Amino acid sequence: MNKELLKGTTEVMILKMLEKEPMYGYGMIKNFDIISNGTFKFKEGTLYPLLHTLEKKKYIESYWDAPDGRRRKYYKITSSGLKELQVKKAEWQVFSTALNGLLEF
Amino acid sequence: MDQRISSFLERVEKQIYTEEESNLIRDELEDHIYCLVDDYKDAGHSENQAISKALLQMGDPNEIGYSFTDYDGMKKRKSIMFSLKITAALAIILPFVIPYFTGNSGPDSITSFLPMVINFSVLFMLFTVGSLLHGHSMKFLELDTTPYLILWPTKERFKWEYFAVSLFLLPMVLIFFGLYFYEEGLAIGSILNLWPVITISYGIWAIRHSEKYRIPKYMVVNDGFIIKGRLVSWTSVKSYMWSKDFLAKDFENHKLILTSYPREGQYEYKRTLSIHRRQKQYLERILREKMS
Repeated sequence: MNKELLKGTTEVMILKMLEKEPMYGYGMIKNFDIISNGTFKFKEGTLYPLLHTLEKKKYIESYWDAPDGRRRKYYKITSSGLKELQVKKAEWQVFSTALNGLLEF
Repeated sequence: MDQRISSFLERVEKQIYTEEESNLIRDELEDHIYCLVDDYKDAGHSENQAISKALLQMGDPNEIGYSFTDYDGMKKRKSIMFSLKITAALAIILPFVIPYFTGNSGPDSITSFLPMVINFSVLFMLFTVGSLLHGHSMKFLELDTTPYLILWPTKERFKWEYFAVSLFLLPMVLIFFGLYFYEEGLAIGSILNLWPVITISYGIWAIRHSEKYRIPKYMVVNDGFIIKGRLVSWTSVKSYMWSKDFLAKDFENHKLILTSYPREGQYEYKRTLSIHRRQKQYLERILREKMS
């Protein structure tokens, strides 16, 4: 997948993933890979800084848990993250409809 | 922990600007690597193979560490530094402008000294904010290669220290400001005098957010050191020596003294860099390699 295309959509992808349930970094990378049939392959150097940025923006928050005995950092979406996700979704709908219209012209 | 994993994590950590942050990221990445190892083991690989494959999949540790650098914050910092300069210029000009509007330029008037005092305080505030933000490293933003090493600050961060200094100044500014209003009422000049309050609020805001907008003071790149935004190439360094940083809190940090070759008609030049104790060994290795 072209990196330029991914830019600007990664935040919304993470927020969407966390909308369902709290997750940890590795789980997210695997899920993106599975759901997108290998199209969205996140690198560690991309995902973690993004997660930290989203946390600074207060769209997500983190907590430590140890479900399998190993300490693990989980992320969950906040109410302002949910609002941001709605805004981004609406923006994306407008953009994709317009682009599809243009491509089919 | 497996030696390969710990050395991988150490290399990631060394690219992150503070010890506190690096510890947080280390724990998270450690879990990430062990998840990968578990998956490889489930796929039938031995422990040894699984670790090698997991680390290979992780990629370059320097790059991972460096990716945590907050570029947006650094770029924003440029505009903050610019606005600080403008405000400082206003602080110098306004003592001459305010008496012109208020007409209180006579030597017998108590208020004739107030703009000076207020502006002195504001300048001091700007100085503290400017120091916090480190007004140097601009060229580094144009680097397109990953530095070998971002040198951690050896001094603990400081925002409460500066905040306390600012708080000490705040009552002084407010008292004089109050006196000014008492004498003047809501005259034309008083509108002008609102600006120190705005500047102080802005200063406090900048102090609170300074962590976000900082730029590493020292870095090691392929061609040499970046010291406060300037490249000091390996070829310009004549020699280096280590000393202890006795002023550091825990007495365990080090001072690196770099001696540069003298330029024409000048003496040789020494620069001293504070080096965190956990980065000394790695830096020593780079120095030996680059300066041999």
